[in-house]
Amino acid sequence: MEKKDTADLENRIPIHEVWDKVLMLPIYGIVDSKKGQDIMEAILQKVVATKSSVIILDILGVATVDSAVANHLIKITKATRLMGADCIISGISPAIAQTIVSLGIELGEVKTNATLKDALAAAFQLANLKIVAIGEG
Amino acid sequence: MTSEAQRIEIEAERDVRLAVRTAVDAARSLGFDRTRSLMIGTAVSELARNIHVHACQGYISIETSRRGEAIGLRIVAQDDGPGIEDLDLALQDHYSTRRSLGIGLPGTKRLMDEFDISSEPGKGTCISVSKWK
Amino acid sequence: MASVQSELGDSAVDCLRRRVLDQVYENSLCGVLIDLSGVEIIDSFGLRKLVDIAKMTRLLGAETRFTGIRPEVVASLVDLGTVSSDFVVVADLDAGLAAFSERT
Repeated sequence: MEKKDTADLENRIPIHEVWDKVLMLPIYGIVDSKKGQDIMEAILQKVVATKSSVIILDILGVATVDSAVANHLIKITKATRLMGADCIISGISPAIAQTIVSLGIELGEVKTNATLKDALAAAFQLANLKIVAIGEG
Repeated sequence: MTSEAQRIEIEAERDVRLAVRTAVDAARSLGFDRTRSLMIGTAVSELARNIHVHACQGYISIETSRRGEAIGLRIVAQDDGPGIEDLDLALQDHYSTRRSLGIGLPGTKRLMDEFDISSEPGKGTCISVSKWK
Repeated sequence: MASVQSELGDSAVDCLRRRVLDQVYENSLCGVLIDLSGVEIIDSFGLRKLVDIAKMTRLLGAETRFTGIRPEVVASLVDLGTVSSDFVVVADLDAGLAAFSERT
């Protein structure tokens, strides 16, 4: 029964391995406590399976970010830290940034970026990787 | 409606481990997945250790719980310890009397679906928690 | 490196603490890696004892890192609440060694 649940979770929450040991999960729509729990478990499974050191959570597609959603996200970042991996949240729009601060939500140590591109750059740095154009030293 | 209650007296440290094992096994046999069974086990560990540390006598009871179609596990932790004077304070994170990080009771509440506590100074404490499948 | 294979009962952790501190002291170790892959239940009492070990080794000049926490256990730890900043987890032995050598 456990194996079936694992495969089922992977289908519902597809986490991309964008590079060796770098994961990315775009989150869409409503994040309620069940979704938050599922995401957390899917990430934990994937981190173990791929031995990843960084995961990027892109929240550009998340409907609303209130304190409940923020708490689910913070829980997820705590969980990845307990696996020895880093978590970066990307897709923070000016609107979300305003909401988070005005609601008094403290993200603390959680790293965040506005765009996925910036988050990727940060992730590569954390994973000790460097991208060099072909033809350059 | 409940049935099949198991009761474990908490006197020595090994009773804490026994209570945890019993709860995890009961959860597994009810069909809780591994993660949720361990969450129940962790909650029982908190409750049982509290009894062991703060009280002379106490027990953990584990029973299957049914509510309509839903099935769950209900844990009751009862002790004759000193009781808790300020329940609101005790249920806040980081309030601690000794030996733990002070996140035990609120942590237990978060691990489970239902949490009820009644305590009177000098009269002991009774905590009931449930988790539904 | 110490590997915990059973539950974090009082006596087991006390024994671990004694052995770790003695080793750090006698061999002037600068790093301790505690592997928790054999542990299924970590409650707030157990967590406190582990954090205490980290604080004690730091006083002796060594940093303690934890590794191997199983995903199912992580789920419970997260609900349990705030994890102390003294409880630092590394992914595995390699990551741990990398972290230690960065500091020396």
